[in-house]
Amino acid sequence: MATSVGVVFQATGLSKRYRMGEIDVWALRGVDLELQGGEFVVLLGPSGSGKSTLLNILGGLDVPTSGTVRFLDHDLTVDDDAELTRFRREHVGFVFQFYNLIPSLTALENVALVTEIAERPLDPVEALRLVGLEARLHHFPAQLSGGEQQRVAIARAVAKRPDVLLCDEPTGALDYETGLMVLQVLEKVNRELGTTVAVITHNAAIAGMADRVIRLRSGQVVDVTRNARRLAPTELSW
Amino acid sequence: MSALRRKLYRDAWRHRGPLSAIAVVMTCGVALFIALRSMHGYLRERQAAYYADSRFADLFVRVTRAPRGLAARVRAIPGVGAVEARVVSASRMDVPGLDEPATALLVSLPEPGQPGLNTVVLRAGQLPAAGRPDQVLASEAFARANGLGPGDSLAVILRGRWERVQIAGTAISPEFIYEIPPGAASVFPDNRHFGVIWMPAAGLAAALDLTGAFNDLVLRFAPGAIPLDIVERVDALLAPYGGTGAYLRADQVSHQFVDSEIAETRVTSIFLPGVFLGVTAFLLNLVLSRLVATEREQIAVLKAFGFRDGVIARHYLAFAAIPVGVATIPGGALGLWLAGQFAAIYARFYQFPNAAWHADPAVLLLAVGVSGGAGLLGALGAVRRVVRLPPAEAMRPEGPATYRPGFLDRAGVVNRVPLAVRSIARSLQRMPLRALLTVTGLALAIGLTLAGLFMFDAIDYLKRLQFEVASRQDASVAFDIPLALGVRDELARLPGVRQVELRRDVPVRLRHGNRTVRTGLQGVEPGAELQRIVDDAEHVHRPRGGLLLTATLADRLGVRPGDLIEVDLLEGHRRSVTLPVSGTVRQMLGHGVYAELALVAELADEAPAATSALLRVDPRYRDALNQRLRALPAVAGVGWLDATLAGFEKTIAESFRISLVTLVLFAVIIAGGVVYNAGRITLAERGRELASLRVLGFTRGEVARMLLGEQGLLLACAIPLGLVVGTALAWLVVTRFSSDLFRLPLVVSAWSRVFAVGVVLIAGVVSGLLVWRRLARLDLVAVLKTRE
Ligand SMILES: Nc1ncnc2c1ncn2[C@@H]1O[C@H](COP(=O)(O)OP(=O)(O)OP(=O)(O)O)[C@@H](O)[C@H]1O
Ligand SMILES: [Mg+2]
Repeated sequence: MATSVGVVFQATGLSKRYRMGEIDVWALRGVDLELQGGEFVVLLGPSGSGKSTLLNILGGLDVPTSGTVRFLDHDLTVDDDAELTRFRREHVGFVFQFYNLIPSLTALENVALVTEIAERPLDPVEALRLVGLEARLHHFPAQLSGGEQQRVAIARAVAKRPDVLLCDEPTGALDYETGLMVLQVLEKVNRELGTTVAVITHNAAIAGMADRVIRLRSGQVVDVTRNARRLAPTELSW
Repeated sequence: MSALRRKLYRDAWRHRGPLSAIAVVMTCGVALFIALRSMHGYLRERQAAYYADSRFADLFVRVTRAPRGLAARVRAIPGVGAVEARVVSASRMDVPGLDEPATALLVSLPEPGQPGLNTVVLRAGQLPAAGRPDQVLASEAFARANGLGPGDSLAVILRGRWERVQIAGTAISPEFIYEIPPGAASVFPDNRHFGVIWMPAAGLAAALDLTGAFNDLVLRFAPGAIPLDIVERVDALLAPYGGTGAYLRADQVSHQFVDSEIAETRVTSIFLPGVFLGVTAFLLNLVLSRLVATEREQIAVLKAFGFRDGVIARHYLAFAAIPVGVATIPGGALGLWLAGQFAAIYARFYQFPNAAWHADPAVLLLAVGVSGGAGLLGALGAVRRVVRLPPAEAMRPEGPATYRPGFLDRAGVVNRVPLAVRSIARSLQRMPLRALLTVTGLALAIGLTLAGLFMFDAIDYLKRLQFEVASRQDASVAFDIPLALGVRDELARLPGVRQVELRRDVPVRLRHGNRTVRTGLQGVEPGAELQRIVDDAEHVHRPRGGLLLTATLADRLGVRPGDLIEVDLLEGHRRSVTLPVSGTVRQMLGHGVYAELALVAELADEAPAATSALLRVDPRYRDALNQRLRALPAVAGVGWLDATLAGFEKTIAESFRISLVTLVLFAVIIAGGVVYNAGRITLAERGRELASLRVLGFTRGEVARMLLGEQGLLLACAIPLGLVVGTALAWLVVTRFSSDLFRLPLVVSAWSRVFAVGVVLIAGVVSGLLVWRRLARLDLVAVLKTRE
């Protein structure tokens, strides 16, 4: 269990409206949320319930229509690209369903590209060892399997030692075995580096490995449960 | 099907930027094709019609004096169709409003009712009335340059007496489209100081004491004529009467000039549009290949639904047809407009009559065909890929682009450069053909701009060479007849004259082996300073103890320094002598043969004499000098260098400015089109990976550098190549434009280079900014949410 360093994210009354021509779509309606430092959180909810919207706002990719959201001393409601970029650069790692690696760079180079802009990064080789890819350093993305690419993407995200790692359906495109391996990596990052991890998934079984499980429906948090004991990924079954 | 059509329109709208860029380049290609093609056809057609209508002669010959009856014997030569025996004479002319004396070439008009050759076309006023020997026709260019028209009068010297004549009308003739005085020192027309004056034959003959005789003969061939055979027979017939050697139309100065210019437009009309259409095809290929790559799955789904390959292929062809189709309308309109402009300029320049220009539907059709062909060429590769795609294969997403360590990696180069550069180097290595075509497109843009600017440089250089280095006199004075050298002192005594230099010109025929050339032998003073013989390296050459030939002439005769050539003097005692070639000179303007004044006199077996003089004049005395020269009976004409220069600027520089400006403008468009589209495609291909970097906290600038770095690198490669291409194009222009009359120098100024590169760089920066703007608007969340 990672040591808690107190609240890192603090969101209150968070709402997000999308304009679709004449119609307003409320992706979030009044979400209140706190994330603790070093916590492993899983976000569950039906499709369209606002999970991605929430994660994107927390990660500084998007800004809410109303409400406040802070990360430590950063105000994430300001719609200032340079400011949000700096926030992401210093504090956030993202992992998406699609890996989006640079195809013209090897695994090692993909990671090194990110460590170049970080202040106190991991050694790229170290980061790849963390995700179990020390034997694949000089492979190009096209020469890696989907799961391996996703793990390079995770190594890339964690190599700059972010405070939080935000993952939107990281196993969505992977089979069971590979998905499991990715989850193990996320768990390891959380445990060994103390990184706060938030994972969106459609797979309720994954919820077992979280400290807390947050459920959304129609843009609202409907349920927050704390697991008494975190399960290891290998103990999960789906 | 209608759903497919809707997809077509949506796709096109989504790609409106690149498609617009393609359409603009295509518009230029179509416009240039139509404009240059129509202009070439138009000029050829006008030339042929003009020559036919006015019965332009095939053979020309001057004599001293021959009885009119001799014309019938010339006509009897087999292969001769029609003959006109004329009276032609150069004369001094007093033009109202012009301080300096001008030179007229007096040409007899055929007797009323007799069909002459080189018939004049009346442009204003009317023909001289019967029984009015004092009425004349003036050449239109001359009249216009001096603001003269029907009713105005001027004075000419006929047999030593000033005679007032009245302009009944202005006219043009195919013989004098390009009007320069016989034996002129400059190859540039000076329409203010030289003009052709047509006079009724009887009056002119009487005035020149040539009644019942002629001194100039022109003839047209009958079908099946053997030209060289006729030349020989005409020469044999006329030699006893002072014939100066017959020459064919190909050696007729005006025809030579017009013909080589028109021939040039043909090359340009193929080459230039070719460049634009080629670049269009490349850009289209770029965009369409990208589109097909991203739509693999859609294509597979369509195929799985049972759409036939043909239908899907048609869909992508239709996509390619959009910019092509869109471009034909403005391209056609612009082309027709440009064609009209060019036609007007060139028709005015060549003085073609009835110059009404009309669009040629065949050219328009051809333009549509050619642009469609270019579109097809661009679409072909991508469409073939669409057809070949097996439905099942396509359902798998494209996957990351396959990269392998390239030769740069193996060479160990890549590992030493920053990662961003590494990625650029590898992506260029992966698609070398595309990189090559992009560089080629940019280099062509630089090259075209440079070649266009080179024309300005060349003209500037020629101007300087002719008017500063070679010709340093203020005025030149032509005499009616050769004058004894004492004329030097006489001229030196005139007001304001600071320096006098004499020249003696004699028409000659040069022979070497079986090659002959008819030209003028120019006798110059040993230390000539006012008019110097200058080569293309600006070295001054002097004929010493032999003949100095221009290089073009030496080539035509096949002689080298040290060789002996036979010289037939076509004047006076008409002697033939053998002389050594003492040297050759690569002269830019004009062609001829030079010898020292004394040698010419010796050859002619006469006392040294001069046919013209060059003067350096104190500008304060210009008017006074003009007045005195006008009063001297032996002076046939006076030309002031500054007037010739003005004439040069007017004809050459002004006439061609519009086409050169168009060329440079279009080159800029190519550059913009290539940089912009290449940038947009790179953005489309790498948008997702770049967006993921933005998500990880890379700033917009950092990402833009990675994206535009590739374009910048290609642009950097294109610059030296473009300069080479431009110089090669300039060299091509030089070789194509070189004629016996003049050669263009291969001089490309540093300023032109800077400009050509600068223009393309600016186009690159602007395109980069457009891509940057797109990058700034990139919706990170949206990009990452979808797979492609
Ligand atoms: N850019 C957008 N424009 C308009 N509506 C949007 C946009 N992004 C999201 N929405 C809407 O907001 C709501 C929440 O979307 P969100 O992507 O957050 O859902 P989600 O919980 O992540 O769903 P999924 O599990 O399917 O990924 C949905 O109704 C969606 O249609
Ligand atoms: Mg989602």
